[in-house]
Amino acid sequence: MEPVIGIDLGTTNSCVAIVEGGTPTVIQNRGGYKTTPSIVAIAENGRRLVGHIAKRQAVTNAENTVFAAKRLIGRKWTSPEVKSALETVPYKIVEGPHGDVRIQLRGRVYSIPEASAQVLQDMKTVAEDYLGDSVGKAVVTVPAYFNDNQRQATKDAGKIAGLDVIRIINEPTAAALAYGFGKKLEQRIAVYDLGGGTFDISILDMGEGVFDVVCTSGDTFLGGEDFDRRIIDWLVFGFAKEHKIDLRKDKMALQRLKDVAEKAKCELSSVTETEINLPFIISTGRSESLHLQRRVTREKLEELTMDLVDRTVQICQQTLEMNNINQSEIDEVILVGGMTRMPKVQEAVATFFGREPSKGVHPDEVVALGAAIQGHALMDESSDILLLDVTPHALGIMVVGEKFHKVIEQNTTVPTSATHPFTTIRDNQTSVRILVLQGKHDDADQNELLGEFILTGLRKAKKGEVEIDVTFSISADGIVSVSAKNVETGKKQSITVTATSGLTENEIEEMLQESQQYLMEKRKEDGVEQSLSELKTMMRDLERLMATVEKAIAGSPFGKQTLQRANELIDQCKAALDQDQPEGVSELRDSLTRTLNMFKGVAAKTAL
Amino acid sequence: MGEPAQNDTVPRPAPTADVTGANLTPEEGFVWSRIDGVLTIDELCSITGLGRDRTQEILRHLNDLELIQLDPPTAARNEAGPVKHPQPASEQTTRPSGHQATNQAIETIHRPLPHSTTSASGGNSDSKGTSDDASVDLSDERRRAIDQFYEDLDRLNFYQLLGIAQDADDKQIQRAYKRRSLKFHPDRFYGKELGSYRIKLEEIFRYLTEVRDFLLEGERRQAYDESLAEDQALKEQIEEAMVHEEEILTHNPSVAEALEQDGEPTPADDRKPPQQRTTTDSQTPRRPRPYHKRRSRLRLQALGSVLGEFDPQTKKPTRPPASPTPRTRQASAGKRPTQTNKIVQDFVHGRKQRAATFYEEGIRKLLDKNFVGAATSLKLAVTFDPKNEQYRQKYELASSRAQGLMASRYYKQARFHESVGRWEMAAKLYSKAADHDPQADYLCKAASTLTMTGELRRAQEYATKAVGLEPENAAARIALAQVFTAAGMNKNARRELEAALNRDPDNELAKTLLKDVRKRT
Ligand SMILES: Nc1ncnc2c1ncn2[C@@H]1O[C@H](COP(=O)(O)OP(=O)(O)OP(=O)(O)O)[C@@H](O)[C@H]1O
Ligand SMILES: [Mg+2]
Repeated sequence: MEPVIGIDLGTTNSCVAIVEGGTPTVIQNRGGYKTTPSIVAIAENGRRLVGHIAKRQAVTNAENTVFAAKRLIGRKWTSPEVKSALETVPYKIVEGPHGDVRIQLRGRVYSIPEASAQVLQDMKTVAEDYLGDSVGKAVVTVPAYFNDNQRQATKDAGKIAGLDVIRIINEPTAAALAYGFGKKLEQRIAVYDLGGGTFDISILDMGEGVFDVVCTSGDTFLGGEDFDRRIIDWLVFGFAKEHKIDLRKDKMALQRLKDVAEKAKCELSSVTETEINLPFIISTGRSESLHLQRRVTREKLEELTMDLVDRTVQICQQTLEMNNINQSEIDEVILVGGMTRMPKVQEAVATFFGREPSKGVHPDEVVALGAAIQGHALMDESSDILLLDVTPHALGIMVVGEKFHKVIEQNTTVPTSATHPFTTIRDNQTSVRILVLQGKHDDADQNELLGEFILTGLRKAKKGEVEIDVTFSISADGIVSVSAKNVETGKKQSITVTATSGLTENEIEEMLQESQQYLMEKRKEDGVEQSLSELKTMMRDLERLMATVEKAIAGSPFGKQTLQRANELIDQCKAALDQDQPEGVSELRDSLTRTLNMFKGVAAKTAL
Repeated sequence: MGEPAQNDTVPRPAPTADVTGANLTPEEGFVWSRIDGVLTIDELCSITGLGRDRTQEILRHLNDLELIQLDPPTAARNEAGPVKHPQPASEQTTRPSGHQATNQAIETIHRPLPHSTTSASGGNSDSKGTSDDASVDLSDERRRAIDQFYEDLDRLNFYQLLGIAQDADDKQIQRAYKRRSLKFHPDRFYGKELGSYRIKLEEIFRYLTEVRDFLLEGERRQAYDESLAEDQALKEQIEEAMVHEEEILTHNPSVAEALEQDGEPTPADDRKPPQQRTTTDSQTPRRPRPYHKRRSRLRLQALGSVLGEFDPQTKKPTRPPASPTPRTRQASAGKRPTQTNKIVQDFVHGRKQRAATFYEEGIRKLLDKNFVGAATSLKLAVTFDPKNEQYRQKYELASSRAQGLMASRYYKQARFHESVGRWEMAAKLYSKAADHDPQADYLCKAASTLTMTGELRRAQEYATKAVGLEPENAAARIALAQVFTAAGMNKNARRELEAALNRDPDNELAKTLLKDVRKRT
């Protein structure tokens, strides 16, 4: 069976997993971490940086570092999220050719799926290195609230990364899947997901190997970074009071503050007190540097972030109320997202739900594991797992007064279909325009436009006389098709709504080619680098042996010639090592190997 | 300073060094703060924003101050090991730790991979199949199961569909729904060529979901239960009538004979499966088993499925024909002895008298609005006294009411299916309605839904029948015209539309359609 990887493409961190021998496993990256920051950057030298390394330079190279691309993926240029991002993110956002969003880094424009593709490609590579084989298929998770365009854009990102995304599934569902894996449980569970940038709460029913999302909601601007910011502000404020210097004005200082704040926050999940230590954080202007040194307790952190935790609980409360669910109906609470490692968060959740959250899952791995399990279940005929997913948003059409009329309600299990009759609004109206919308707002323009088409040939009649049936259907893999039928004539018009990620097929293909190209070059470069480092080692060995060998053979003309050639070789090596793109490295290495072997032989003889 | 460090050396903070004791600039402090035991010198140079030379210079300086260690490249990575986020000790891992992964990842980090670009561009085998079913990637058994259940959708009631008792609680409903989903959800056949089965599966699953949602809603479920009870009552009436009939026949072969000679179909008879019909009509083999038995069974099947109550297992020949559910059996059992006695007695008094008894009974049932039962009794009356016009009239009345009743039930169901876009089901039920009660309305509806599902020949049959029945009905002409249009027979369509307009000159629909047709011809 072809392997399918599961990828949790998070706002702040990503994670990759696979089912191997029936067991779902998270794959560590080369640094030994199970999660990789979802950050990409272009360094000064034009090199692409992904993950941990990109995070370490995010503030100092802010204009060229893309973080939280997930907040922009699949969004329209005119959307409020993009408007607010325009004001807050340090990298340059420009309008794309299809009303989409693009990012400009060091003079080149990238689409958002392209940025996400680099993270996905990194995860793919991590998996390939682990498996020792190429990986072509993946299941990728998205927040439950993602609309069709965002899902499609995520799929496109996969494509650009050279992955066939066989299914997009919701994060909470994936978490429940991983939690329920291998257990014969029949439960109603709550998934509380507090990640780096977003908060989600979802209720699911599981049983008989089937997972059914009951409802889901959340806040897309509430997460671990807000907690970090509270610590930073507290540090900055304290420092300003003492030294009258605003550390945020200095990029290097701010980067260090960010790193250290997150580190302290994480540490305080397991210890009650920790020291924040930033030596030489800033210059006083009199050739002297200041240190920032402060103890921070868990209590202090909790005090600084109390309202954030409270806010998540409020959202839980609202969600349950809106769906007429009582806490007592919840059999199990699963914690997802790195932030749920914070004891205060666990405590708040336990208090609200009146039960201790499940201890059996790793909050930052569970989503990727679930994705891997779903990928495996789809490919494996004999699997007894079935995930029943729901439509994240209501679907419908625009009706008179620019209002939104729902045909399929939010949280309907897919595959599904529904029909609703509509009628004309003007006398002698012979055609209707069907605007297919997705969302929850009553005003049509507040919702996502998924597509449109026109039904013509209506009978001329008084308004309200001609009947039109509009049918929506959604397939198991989330593809939406809409048809409108003239009830009298049976004439039908339909479209398959291909959500627009903002990229055309051609663009995606081009981006795929380019990313493959880049990968090849990078691998070649890595290969060159490795040869260069070997060259360097051998050259140093040669230099070390030079004195000994010289003593032994300098007497003979042949020896002199050999020594001269060896010295020339060393010079050539040094010259090659000074260049960025040296040529003839492999020949050099061959000569060097031969000479070195000879020298070693001579040295061994003289030692006798 | 020490020897020049290699670019892929990984610097690490010296464990014992006192950084604050040194005198660093903020730049140096910053570079120092980037050192984490993971990034190489090369990587550090690209991220500090200070440029390669300045960064290297600072690194050398830090090295000279013994604030960092420059480990040899390969050793460094292996020794440095994973730096994990602190994890609460209470957490247990649910899977193998995967430390093996680290080692592999490190060892193979520079190994170029065999790279396939084809996997990404490979065609999506999961796309909606339009291919014919010959290439469908399902075993015969699976296909049969799907076909069977698909058929069951309009035959079984909600409880039977889920395979649960009528008093099942919510949990049991959910459980049953999930069990069914595991069998019929399209994802169970991911990556397979499904042809028309994909649509069937989606349809099944959607229907199951609707049924589940429906039953989980207390009020709707209650209303449904009530309507089921009504159905049950109706069915009991029918059954009683049939038991009655059967008993007469069993005890009186002559009656059976009489019935057999009389070819006129009884209410549900025209629903005989074609296969059975052939057997009956052909010369050989003659009567595989007593005709009346077979006939009752067929009728029971037919009636059972009308009501969505028929248990498919009763199709097995071993089960007795009557009484598909225990409750019914009980109900009729109470009445049986007295009736039998009465009938046997009655039988002794010649044909006319018997006819009179059946007639009386029929009238009583008619007054009870038990039309199906009445039709059965009156039919027997007519059989024994074929010349009696009164009997015949009453029989025809009861029969048409019984037919009409069934037809209107079909019609109602059909409208429901049409309203949710299940065209095939709607077409099927409209035609059933039209079969039972061939009124123009039903015929037209059947014709137009059949046109939509592409069964043009049958659509034409119904539409022609409608026109034949009511030649002056413009709607019937229009229905026929639509069939012709769909079949590309524009001339005929035009003729019918013109005929429709002759009868109803203001019919806007006919006008629009005629314009369309004219454009095409
Ligand atoms: N031990 C810990 N204690 C507290 N917070 C932690 C801990 N470990 C990680 N975090 C925080 O969790 C957050 C990252 O969580 P996670 O990786 O689940 O996010 P994500 O999935 O990328 O984000 P999102 O779900 O919003 O898309 C970061 O803010 C990180 O600082
Ligand atoms: Mg997450």
